[in-house]
Amino acid sequence: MNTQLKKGILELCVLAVLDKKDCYGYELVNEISKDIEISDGTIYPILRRLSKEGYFTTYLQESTEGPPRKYYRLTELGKETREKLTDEWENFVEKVDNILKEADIDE
Amino acid sequence: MSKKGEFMDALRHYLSDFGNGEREEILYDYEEHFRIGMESGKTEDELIKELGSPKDIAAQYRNADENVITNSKVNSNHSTIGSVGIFIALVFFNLVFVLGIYLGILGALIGMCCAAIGVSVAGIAVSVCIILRPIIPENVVIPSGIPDISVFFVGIGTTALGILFCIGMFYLVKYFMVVTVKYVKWNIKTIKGE
Repeated sequence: MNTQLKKGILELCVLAVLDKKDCYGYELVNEISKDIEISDGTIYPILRRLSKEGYFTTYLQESTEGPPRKYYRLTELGKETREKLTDEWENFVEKVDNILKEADIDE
Repeated sequence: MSKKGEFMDALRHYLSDFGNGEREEILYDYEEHFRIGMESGKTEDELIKELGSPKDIAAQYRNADENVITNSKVNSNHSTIGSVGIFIALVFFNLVFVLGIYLGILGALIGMCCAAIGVSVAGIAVSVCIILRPIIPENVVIPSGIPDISVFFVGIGTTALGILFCIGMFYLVKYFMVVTVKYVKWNIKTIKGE
């Protein structure tokens, strides 16, 4: 799948997962890579950039299994952006579907 | 050295052009990833394979950096104190040493631009006056010991000189602006510790 497209979609996925609940890095990476085929290493840069742009806040939480873990939480801006991107995605899928259907009929 | 150690070293190496604070923050995420991954039973080899190439990863951080529109407000808690120190030092340095010299040069440039314009105008004025000699009132002084035509050409020559001067000043000022912007950017970069 085209990398630019994947990147945009990955951002949406990250926002969507965090919208449901706060996650720590490893957890988030697993959630996404179990469905979409990408190198785990590509997610951390996205997390960092979206964090810098104000879509999440981070906090440390004590863990029973070791040192505290860094959790990500969606901000208001993050929530709004997630809704916006979801709309764009659904729109996009609908349009592509239309084109494909028309192309099919023409054959 | 362990495979994980090799991976982290490679990543650190590909991120060597990043600021120290930023690089350590990035590496911490991967340290944590390895730790939690191994706690949940994965091997180093598996984790390394899943993470992908350190070079690609570094490239993505670099790429992302250029896309950040707003500056990092949230994260850099490590490098803040260092940044403040550098900021104060730079302000002090700039005020004491740089400002005086900069204003001096700026003043000189302004003066030279005025001179360039002045020369051009003067040349035009002389040539025009010679042409218009018949209709110029008594109290305007025009050189009379030299043939009119010579004065006319002197005027044109002076104007040409003035215009060349102006063109030269244009490039000089442009260069000066570029240097100023670069210096300001360098200051900002240094404060942020990149």
